[in-house]
Amino acid sequence: MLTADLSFSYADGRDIFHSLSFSLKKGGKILIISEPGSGKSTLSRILTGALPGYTGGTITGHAEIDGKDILSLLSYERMEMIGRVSQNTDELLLFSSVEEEISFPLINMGLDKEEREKRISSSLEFFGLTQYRGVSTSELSGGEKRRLILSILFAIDPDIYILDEAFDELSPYWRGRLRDTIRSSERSMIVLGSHMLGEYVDTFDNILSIENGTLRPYTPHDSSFAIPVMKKGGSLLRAEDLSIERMHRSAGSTFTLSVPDFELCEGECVTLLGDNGSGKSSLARVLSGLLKEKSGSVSIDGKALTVRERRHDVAYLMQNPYEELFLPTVSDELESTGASSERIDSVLSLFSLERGEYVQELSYGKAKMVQAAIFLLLGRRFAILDEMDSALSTEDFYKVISSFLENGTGVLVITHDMNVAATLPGRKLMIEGGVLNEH
Amino acid sequence: MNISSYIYGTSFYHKLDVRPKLFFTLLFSVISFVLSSHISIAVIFILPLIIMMLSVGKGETWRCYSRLLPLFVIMILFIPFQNRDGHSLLVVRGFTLATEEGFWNVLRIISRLGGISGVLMLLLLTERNESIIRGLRAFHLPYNASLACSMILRYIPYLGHLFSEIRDAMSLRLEEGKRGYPMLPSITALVISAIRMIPDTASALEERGFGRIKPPKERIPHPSGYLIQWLFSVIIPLSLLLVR
Repeated sequence: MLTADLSFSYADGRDIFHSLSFSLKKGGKILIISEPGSGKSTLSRILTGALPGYTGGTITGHAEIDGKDILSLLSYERMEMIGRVSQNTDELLLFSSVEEEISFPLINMGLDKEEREKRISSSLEFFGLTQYRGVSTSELSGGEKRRLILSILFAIDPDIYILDEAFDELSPYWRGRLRDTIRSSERSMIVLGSHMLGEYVDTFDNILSIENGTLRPYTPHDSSFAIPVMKKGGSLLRAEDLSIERMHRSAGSTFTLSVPDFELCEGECVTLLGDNGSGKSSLARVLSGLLKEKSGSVSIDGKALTVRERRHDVAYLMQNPYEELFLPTVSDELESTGASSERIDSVLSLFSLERGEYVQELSYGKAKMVQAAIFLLLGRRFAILDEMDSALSTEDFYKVISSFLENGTGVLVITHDMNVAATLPGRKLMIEGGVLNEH
Repeated sequence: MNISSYIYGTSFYHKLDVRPKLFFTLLFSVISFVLSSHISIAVIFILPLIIMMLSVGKGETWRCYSRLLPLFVIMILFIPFQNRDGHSLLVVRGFTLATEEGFWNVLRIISRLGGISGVLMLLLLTERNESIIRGLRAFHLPYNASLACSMILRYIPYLGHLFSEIRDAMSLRLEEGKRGYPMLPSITALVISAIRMIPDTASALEERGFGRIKPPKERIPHPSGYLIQWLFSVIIPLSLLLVR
């Protein structure tokens, strides 16, 4: 049904693919697993028409769906043939409410009001977003935004779905549900990922990998990462009787998270689990001083900290790295930390980054590595890594955790991946029913 | 640009139909340029402020207007450059620092800026994006133009949101003992992000089918008291012309 043989280079001359060829039969399911920056998202953008678009670049080769050349079609002419869920959820969200996001493409498909309503209701219900129908998309959590992007694509229901790291940020329940949907769907699906997940097993007809710009059959390789080791000691970050309020101003609803007691030692690793929208990121924002708690206190070694004081001690690596990267180049970002040139060079080498790379041209995974490099250089006593495992290869993820722990930083890892949680050292915490407890 | 200023509410301004509300916003903005007396200029500033407080509360009103404060301060700093040949108002060691005409001129500009910004913010705080598009289309504006208008209206609040994100990100990188955030890098980052989002938004719109068809206009039913709502929207701004 879909056959492609593509070569692509960006406007600045960077070659991404050389004769990358594959085919996908009707109802087929393909998984493409490869390192961040290998070109997975570029491939999805080319197929849906977002590239070269307004960004520029040169495509050679062909991509056909049922014998029809899709490269000659405009993006909106392809939307019923092929659609994607992007890795960066904010990239595709444009409107002011959940309902509007879904109804916009349906209006453009020329569907009548009744059909639109049917599709909106069923996709919202399927992805558990019915209660957020009138909520502003900027008030959703990372996982809820992911489910919204999925519900938009499922409402459009194109012949071929491209799910770019779509399992990331989803809780185990929603990951399982998405896996079951992929397995039972009659549509063709291409799933892109940077590391193997349990949900991928027995789900796909074919597993491929992008290596040096071409697609090859995926072969699992022995991972050469060491399980991070804790060096507990030093200061203690503590939160007592915290009450955190999260508001949906657009819908007039509120959600409260209670944290009776939370402790994190320097050099310790603690893992935080919880469903999408349970308040994990809100807790991270309170601990790092970006959000004020409704009541309770946050202290280090018994000294209560103001919101501003927390920012000097607790680093917060946000779920979406682009929310923290604003300077033009990797070099600018790292130099803004005030670290010496030698230290910057050593971190660049450790995280396989290059000084001159433009931040906005980095892949999502690479952007996460830059984000980690910045906070490693800042040398805060505590760091909160919000879903750092998503979009990174397993090796890179453990490299980041180990680097922080070796520096003596206390690390709070927020994740949805139970395998990751099981392999990380230290205590596990869980948010359930609006309360944080030991897991 | 997934930012919405809309705040859920049941105030009278929330209940006002989007068509008279759009007309009120436009008429109020135009009339603010015609008025010149001190009282009328004060009313231009205060009226949207009071409606906003009644519609979304004091906290949200402060949040909106506090973003304008830096602009007001900059304008006040420019008073000495206004109407240098007017009547002296503030003299320091024989040098006229500010003139009466310069002072009133700046207050007039501040009032108009505050009033127009206030009435536009009120629109965004009390109407969802889709309602604004429907309202604009009711005035026979083409779909593409209505969509573009609604996005442009949200662009400035979005920049405000983006700037606070940048400020937060920068504040997490501050050295011990330092407060605030580096202003120049933050503004540079804002400009880069704002420019970059234009092609991204255009591309995302096309991927979601923008340009594929011309969506038919949906009829908006008239709410109860529709005529009274229109009278409110026309009479209130026009009555400002009577203020001397």
